[in-house]
Amino acid sequence: MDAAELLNGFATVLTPQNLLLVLAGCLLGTVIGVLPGVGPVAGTAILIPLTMGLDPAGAIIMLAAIFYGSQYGGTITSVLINTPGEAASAITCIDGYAMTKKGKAGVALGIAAIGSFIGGTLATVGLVVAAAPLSSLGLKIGPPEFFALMVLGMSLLVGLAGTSMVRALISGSLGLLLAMVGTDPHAGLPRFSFGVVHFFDGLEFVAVLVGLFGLGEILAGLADRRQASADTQVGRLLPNRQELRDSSGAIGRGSLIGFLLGIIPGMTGSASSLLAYGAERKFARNRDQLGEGAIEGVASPESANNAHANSALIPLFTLGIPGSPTVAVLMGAFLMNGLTPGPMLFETDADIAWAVIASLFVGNLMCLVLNLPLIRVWTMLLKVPRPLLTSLILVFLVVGSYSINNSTIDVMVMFVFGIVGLFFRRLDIPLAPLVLTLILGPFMETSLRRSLSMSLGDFSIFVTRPISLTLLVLAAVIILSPLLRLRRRGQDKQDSRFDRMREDSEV
Amino acid sequence: MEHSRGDALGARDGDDGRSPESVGPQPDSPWMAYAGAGVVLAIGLYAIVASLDLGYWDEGPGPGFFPFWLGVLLAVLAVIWAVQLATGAAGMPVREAGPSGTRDVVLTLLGLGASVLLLEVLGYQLTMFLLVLFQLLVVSHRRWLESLIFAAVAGFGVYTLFAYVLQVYLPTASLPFLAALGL
Amino acid sequence: MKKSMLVSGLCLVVALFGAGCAKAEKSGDGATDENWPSGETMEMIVGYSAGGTTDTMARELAAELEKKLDVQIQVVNQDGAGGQQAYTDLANAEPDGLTIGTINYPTILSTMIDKSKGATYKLDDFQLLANHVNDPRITVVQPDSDYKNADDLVEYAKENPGKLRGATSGLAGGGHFSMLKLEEATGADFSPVHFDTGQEDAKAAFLGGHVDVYFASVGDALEIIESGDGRPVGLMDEERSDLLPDVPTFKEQGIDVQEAGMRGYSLPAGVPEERLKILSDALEEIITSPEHKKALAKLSLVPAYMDPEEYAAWLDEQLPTVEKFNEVAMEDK
Repeated sequence: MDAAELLNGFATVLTPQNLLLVLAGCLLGTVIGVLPGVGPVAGTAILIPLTMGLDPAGAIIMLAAIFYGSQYGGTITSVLINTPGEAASAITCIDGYAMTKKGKAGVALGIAAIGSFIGGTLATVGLVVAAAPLSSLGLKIGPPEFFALMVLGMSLLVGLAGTSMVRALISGSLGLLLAMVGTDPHAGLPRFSFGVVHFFDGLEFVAVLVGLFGLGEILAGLADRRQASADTQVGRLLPNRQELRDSSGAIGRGSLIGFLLGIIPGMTGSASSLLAYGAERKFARNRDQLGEGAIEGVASPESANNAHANSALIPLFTLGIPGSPTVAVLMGAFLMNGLTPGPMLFETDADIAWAVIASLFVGNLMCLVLNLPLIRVWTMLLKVPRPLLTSLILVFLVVGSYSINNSTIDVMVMFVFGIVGLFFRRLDIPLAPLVLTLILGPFMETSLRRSLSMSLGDFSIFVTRPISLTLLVLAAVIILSPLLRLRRRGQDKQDSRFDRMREDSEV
Repeated sequence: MEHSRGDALGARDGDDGRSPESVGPQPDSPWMAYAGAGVVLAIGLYAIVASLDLGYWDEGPGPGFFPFWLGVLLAVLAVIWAVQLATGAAGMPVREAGPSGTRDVVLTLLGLGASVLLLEVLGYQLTMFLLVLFQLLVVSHRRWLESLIFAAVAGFGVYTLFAYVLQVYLPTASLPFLAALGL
Repeated sequence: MKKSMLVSGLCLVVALFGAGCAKAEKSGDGATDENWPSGETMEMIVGYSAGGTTDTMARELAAELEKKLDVQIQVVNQDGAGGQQAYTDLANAEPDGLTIGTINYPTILSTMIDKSKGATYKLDDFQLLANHVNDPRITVVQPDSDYKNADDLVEYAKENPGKLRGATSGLAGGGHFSMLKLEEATGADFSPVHFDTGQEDAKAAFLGGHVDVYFASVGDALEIIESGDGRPVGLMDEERSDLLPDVPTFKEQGIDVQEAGMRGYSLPAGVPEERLKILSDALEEIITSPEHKKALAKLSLVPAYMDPEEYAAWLDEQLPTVEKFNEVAMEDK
């Protein structure tokens, strides 16, 4: 790292024009993040023409701001109306919305903003300090390691079973089956597509999530005639000291996980936040409450997805490899402004590169400062009378799912999964396993196939490579550990049942 | 029948003799759960059948491998679940929606479903306008003026915002006379 | 009472229609006047996701076309199904000359040929407009490997069939075809590893040392060749590339294998002659200009203009080859 160049970068950013661009980017990014369907990819792509009139540094600074700014915005609808603004915010819906139902919407949004800021900033520090060695590390993760990582992810979330293992397995298996829709990675045959070209790439992920969570929640609410008064309590707007202390571990873990996974080419923000959430199952102080409004369930994935967004810039800058479709759009912006990201970037255009990096620090701070006061505004939404809010949310869902691909097919998918979501809730089938397998499933199958192509059909490739072996062993340990605990718990249950019998007989 | 105007929560007292809180766990009619298990079983069987056409193994799992076994797993799980229900071991709080709850859900779905089908026929603006109007008037029994305003905002306002400000293209009408009107 | 409410409601709706009138801005599709398409809004369907090379080059071209023809061009990314969705949309678009789409070889042909994909278009449904660039295939090996040229690589691959793993950007894509053509011409045998999620994943796998060969295109591989992270053994083109003058072609080395990466544009079939001419002349001027060549070089691309007839003829020529290799591809996965 060259301190002088970084300082130069700051000098470039801290000019009125560039600061204004960062601000505009954060604002636009937040708005884009809020709208489901108009995710970072579409949003940034739309705005590329707008930035054509700016100088290269300014254009990229603004686009980068839109990019990480949208990670802040995606949380808002997840927490308030259980509708993910984009795939990476999906996992936040679970505990975030549960917190809203408990009247803690403001706290959830607050901790999300703080966690996002810390995650993003820490990742940028990592980028500055160790970009080159980290990117080589990222490259070491080939298909077998990727597969092992996905298995590890699945193992961490075994604990999301809820009350019934059978129903959790049904949910997970359905998710995996849905993940199989589309062109299979090996033979190129369309599977379960019913001849619809739109399904050749699989079911549109965000449409499924928006339906399951957003529409499903609305329908379940209508069916239940639940008391809405609890929902409208906004409560405190910011987390208190206890909550901050509880989340500090989660933020740290989430940031680390998001940061490390972001340097792996091909890893998406949704997978990162999912794995971070999974880690909380093992490490969070309030882990028993995960799924019902534990603050770690918001802090961790939010830190992870912002850390991921910022560290995904590492392979872009050092190797010219965009880690995900969103980063690819940013790469397009580089290319259109005459810059070529990759090993040559720091030789040919170092000043612009460092200006962009400096803008990441400034921008993350600005996003935090922007988002905290806005929490009050967002939470006002909850005060709108329920039926009016419901009708507006319906429109929101339609617009959101349509604008993903400019296709009404996605709106139909959203509709169908809304019904599915309703039945899942009524039949007490947990949603989280389905989300998990839907996100991780495609990665698993693809990396499995590629690994076998690499090893020419030999399965031992997974255990002969050190990183992959380590991850698989870890996964095995995690899967087996509850079995040991179950035996002990079984003993406890028997004891307590005996106690209760005694009490009953004494009545 | 006169509809009393609902309070801000949309709940109505004295509508069917039950206040909202009394719709609690009623595990004596789990037909919905059996239906659910049936659906899962059907999906599992379909997956098994469909996967037979795709290849099974080819130097590694072929396209049909995972779908086949997932189908088997789903079918087995569905049976286990049904057995659990029958023996009362499922541990599910099966809630019945009150009659008004079911009505709301069905109406909302009908309205939403119709809008999805009409989106490209009538265009976004008109369809959303009608949807919100329907949702507020028929499902939630709100007042006319309020509903119309909301519907207008949702249909036309949102369209303007998206199409002109954000440059996100929402569907326009495919019926010629509507299209000529700019819808 | 309800019925009258309904009626008054409908009246209100009709009134709002009137308000909607003000927003009407349908473009005229009558006869072509001399100034066509000045003032119109055109649409360009890009069959790839935003940020990729095809998308970037299309947007650059669109920007120049806007200036030349005094139009507004909306670029729409429609990256479903490996480009098939975009081709379908293009084929079904109004042939008024206002909708253009990107055409990539070989996917335009392979999607048509592969029955399982159920494509609804044929070559006749398109009126080709111009070819923009040629991004020929190049075979790259690990820099620390023993293969210094094409012969070394081919020899090893013949003596050790299937041992060398080659990264491609997807089954039956350009990279895979380049591998198959090489195998057919020399008897070499590689094992493909397909990265259908995008060529960046193929590049990452190659850089991480997980595969031995990278069946790339010049645009994909230029950076890593220049930085020394990849060693090129042969270019699959008639002549050496201007961007890589030191890299010999396979032909020079005695192996006659060509795999072009032509990318161009098309209209739906049925566009009036005059409009076709206006558009194709404009594109010709832009694409053959020296400034554009420089702009493309920054994207690691080289212009290769072909006019509508040439382009259509070229695609027709490739049809039998693509059919043959598509079948081979399906067997040799």
